[in-house]
Amino acid sequence: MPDYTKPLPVITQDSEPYWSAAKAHEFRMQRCTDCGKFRFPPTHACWYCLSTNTEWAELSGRGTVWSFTVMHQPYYKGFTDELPYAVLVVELEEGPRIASNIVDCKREDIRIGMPVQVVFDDVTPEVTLPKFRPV
Amino acid sequence: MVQADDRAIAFKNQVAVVGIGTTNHYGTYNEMGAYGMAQEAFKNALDDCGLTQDDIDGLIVGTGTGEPTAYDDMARILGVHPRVAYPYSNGGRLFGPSVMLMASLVASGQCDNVAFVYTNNARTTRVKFGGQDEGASAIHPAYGFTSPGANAAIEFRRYLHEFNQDREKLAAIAIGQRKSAALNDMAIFRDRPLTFEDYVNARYIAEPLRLNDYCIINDGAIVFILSRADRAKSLKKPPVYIRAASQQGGWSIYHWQDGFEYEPYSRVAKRVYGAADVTPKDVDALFWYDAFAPFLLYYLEGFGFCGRGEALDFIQGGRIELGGELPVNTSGGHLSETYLQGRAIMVEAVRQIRGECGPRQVPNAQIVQFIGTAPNASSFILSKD
Ligand SMILES: [Zn+2]
Repeated sequence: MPDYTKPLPVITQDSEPYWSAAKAHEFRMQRCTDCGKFRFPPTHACWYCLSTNTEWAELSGRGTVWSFTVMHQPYYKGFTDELPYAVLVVELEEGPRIASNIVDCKREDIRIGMPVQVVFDDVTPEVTLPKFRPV
Repeated sequence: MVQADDRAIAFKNQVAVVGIGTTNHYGTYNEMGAYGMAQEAFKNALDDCGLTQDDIDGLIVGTGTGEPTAYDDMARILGVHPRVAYPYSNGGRLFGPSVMLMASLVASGQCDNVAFVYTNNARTTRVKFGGQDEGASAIHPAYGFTSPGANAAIEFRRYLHEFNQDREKLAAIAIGQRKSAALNDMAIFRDRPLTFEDYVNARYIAEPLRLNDYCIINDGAIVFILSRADRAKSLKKPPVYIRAASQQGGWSIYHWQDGFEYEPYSRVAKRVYGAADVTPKDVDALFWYDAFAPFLLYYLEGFGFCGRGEALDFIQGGRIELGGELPVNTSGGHLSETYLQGRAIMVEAVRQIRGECGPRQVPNAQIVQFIGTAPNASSFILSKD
């Protein structure tokens, strides 16, 4: 694999299970086992009820494009060659909204409300990024 | 201090803005650093109201995005010995709340004359918004997602979708404020007229936002002084009263809640209009935190200037320009005058009430309003009496 020059996520105590699951190509997020709500990004306790009883529930991986932008400004060296590139916010079937990139889709073809499905991009031997493709 | 039923602070003419001072220009300050700019603006603010260093018994230091400034060093280099001094960091979105706190210090009797000192050399220190380390739990940079502007772009695209609106109607904001900037000798873009063609031909930064939808990054400093209203009348300039102030926290960027912050804005609106005993129809000019042009749409709707989804139509036809029904950011604002995180907009709001704006004066301006952005939606109302 050629050197990967894009920024990598900072993995913390709270987010480590998210990234471990992604590495195993599983899409998991925290769900509070007291109030039942999903939350993202990962936190120690549930922000709805402050319970620390949490399971890492597997998600369907399905969602829709809530909105997106196309980045034209070079901010990160590793993305310069891809300018302009799209960043989307996906509303997951289970509720949370997350930022990601789209694969297998030209940026002119992205539409709000478009159904998407998670895919896993093994960007380094240690890190896998959940991304989305059109369904 | 009277707490209205709905908990905005109604200052009931207890607190007035008595002095304002800016650096002698905005733009690039190679000749001095952040503290030097603060000294220049402070001297101008004292000259504006006739108070002296010894009169200042409260000092709030708002650190800009450039070189950090410590509140204790600031007190030393300004030669003041205030009873109350503290730093007020984290820039723009806390500007409105900082005015509320300062006014509370005066209204509660803690201080007679509070100076708010804000200095920022973002330009010479080459501050960038975006591309930096985004903290311990950073996920977004891995997807190339960064900068407050990109977040505003995502929200604006969603807005266009939900209300089936035309993106190019947004041009009215940047173009309208640029026209006002042409009448302002301090405005960085005074001599850069902006036509609709210029606007649509400018590059995208984060689509659908283009260059002129973004604020400027520059150097400058602002000082304003709040005093007890009963003493304000004896100072050099007519007092500008802070009628009411309110804010609402609990909303966070990068989490894409529904509704374009309608709920926090409408909560603040209810409180601040109630406490000031005015309605949007009474507002002679609106001063808003224009980091990015689309924010105005959410303010106008949340504060009830127009209905939901109607703001892009509301701003057309010169309505928000000088001579229109609701002139906004008559100095040119962050988009065309200077980006000092709300403080220079405060200066213009005060000057409008004083009648000091010359060719860009709103005739007989009696009541003006400031609206600051969510998270920490905030607003305060200034009046002539
Ligand atoms: Zn819970």
